[in-house]
Amino acid sequence: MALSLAKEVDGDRGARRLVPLFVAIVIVEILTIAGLYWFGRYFGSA
Amino acid sequence: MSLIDWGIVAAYLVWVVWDGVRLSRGTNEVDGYLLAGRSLPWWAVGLSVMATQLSAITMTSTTGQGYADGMRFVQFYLGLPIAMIILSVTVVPFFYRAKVYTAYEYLERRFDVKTRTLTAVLFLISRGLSCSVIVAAPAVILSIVLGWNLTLTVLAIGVPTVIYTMIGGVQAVTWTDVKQMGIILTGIIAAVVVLILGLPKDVSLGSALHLAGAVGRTQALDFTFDVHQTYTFWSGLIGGLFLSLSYFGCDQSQVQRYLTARSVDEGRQSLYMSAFVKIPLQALILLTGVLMFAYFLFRPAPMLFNDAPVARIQAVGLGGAYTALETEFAAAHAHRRATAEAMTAHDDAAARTAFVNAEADVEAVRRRAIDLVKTATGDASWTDVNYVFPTFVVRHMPVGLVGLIIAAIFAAAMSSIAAELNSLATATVIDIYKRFVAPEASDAQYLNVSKWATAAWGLFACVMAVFAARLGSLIEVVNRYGSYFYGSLLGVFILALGVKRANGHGAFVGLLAGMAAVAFVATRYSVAYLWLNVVGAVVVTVVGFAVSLFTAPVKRST
Repeated sequence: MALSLAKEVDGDRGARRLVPLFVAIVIVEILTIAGLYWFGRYFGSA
Repeated sequence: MSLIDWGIVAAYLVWVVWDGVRLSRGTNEVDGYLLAGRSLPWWAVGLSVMATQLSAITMTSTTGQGYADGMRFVQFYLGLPIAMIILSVTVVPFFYRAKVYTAYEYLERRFDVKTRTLTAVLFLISRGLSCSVIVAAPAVILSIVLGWNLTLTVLAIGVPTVIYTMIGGVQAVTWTDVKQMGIILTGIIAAVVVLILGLPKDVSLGSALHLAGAVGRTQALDFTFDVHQTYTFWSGLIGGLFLSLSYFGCDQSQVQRYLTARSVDEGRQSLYMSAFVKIPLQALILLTGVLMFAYFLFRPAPMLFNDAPVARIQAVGLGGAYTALETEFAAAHAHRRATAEAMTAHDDAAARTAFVNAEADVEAVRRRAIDLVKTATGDASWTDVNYVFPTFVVRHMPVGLVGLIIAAIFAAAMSSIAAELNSLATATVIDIYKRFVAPEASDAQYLNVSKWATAAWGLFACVMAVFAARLGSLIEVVNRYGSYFYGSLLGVFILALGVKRANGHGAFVGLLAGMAAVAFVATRYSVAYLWLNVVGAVVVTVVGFAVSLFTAPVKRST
């Protein structure tokens, strides 16, 4: 959805330029969630 | 507080005003005063976005939540990074290329004047009141913990902020935000270091976190899907997404930050900074609270972190019961310390169970003490959570660092207040004064009115802050009003940017229907407030689209 919106606003070239950033944000978020999950599991267990 | 600490706080207040006024160059035109001539770099705007959101309430309340409830509040921010991606390809380029001063100005171009005016007025009311809460909340806490006069504390926070915001405009707001963010981060890191160094020699950081984890303080994620629970993974990811879309995309206090960027790309990058940094930063602030919990396991802790109501308890004849609870608390605290030491020495199931039970005993005594305060004061929502961090700072931090952290709390409050005053003045001048009162006035006149509007909103915030401080429940009312409004406002912008067939009648009726639906759901069902944003946005979009289908289409000018 974000990519189609970007295409509408910035054209194909502009949208392609943003894709790596979007992917980086999503990867960082997934890693952050995984880190928070690990933090709770590791320190919460005996 | 020592003289050195007083000196640091006083030096900070003088410096922030001097620095803000110094940065007022280029503000002799409205465009420079309200949008910095669209000249600011992405990193400065990004830090300003974060400083605006991080208020003194975050520093006191979020650390307190970490102490009392652990890390779970971090889930509130899970939708934020996704929201930043969506906003960077929607509202940022739309607003920037439309060359608007306010988000609501865009709504008149897209819809009509009534939709613009309603959204602008809703913003002015909600932000005006929330600005007074942002002044009041730290003023109440600091006045109680440090024994300062409440009105003088309100003035110490409000007056310097009004001076530099009024004189320097958005340039002063942004560049002081950047430096204030540095002070806030330094203060938080200093607190974390003192907490770690303050642990007993035989208690490592890992052991301290295992102790906190044994009683659920390190549990950050809760995957249960329950709309009645305030903070779960799903309410944070979905409700938090809608809240972030609304706050960063439709609230002028945030929209104005990225409209000052040099280009659309720099405006986007300023939001990406929050997308990458916000969750780790909030996790660090909550971790400070978790570490305070571990710290107070091994140190004398007060039964209540705000002992201001004790005089009232004694006045209503409950002093004896309170003293008995204090004795009981001291014994429970000593027992919990012994079990914590035993678990640190040997972490097995028996030691863990003993510690968990001892913590439950301490909490039970604290709950009874809090109930006693509620009975004595008649305030059913009374809590001492917001006082944990300031109490730790004043009683346990070394000389010099106390002043630094009090300055950091001031900085957190002032950075949010300055951005709000600046945006309130902008909406007042652009959406009300220029639109209805003086459409053909000169640039100098608009500039002059912008400065006086900043001062007037500052005065309003300070006066209301003194009242709000005396009426604790008002703070809750203001926060609830915000959640009634946010999702519905987002719905209007979804119609504006995403539904070509939507028209002004649809947006206006949809907005009213959305707010009514949120009020209905909030009062009839015990739904966690993050979900109200989803309700508001969906109802506005659906009703707005339906009404648009049955009314004449309008010509889009943008």
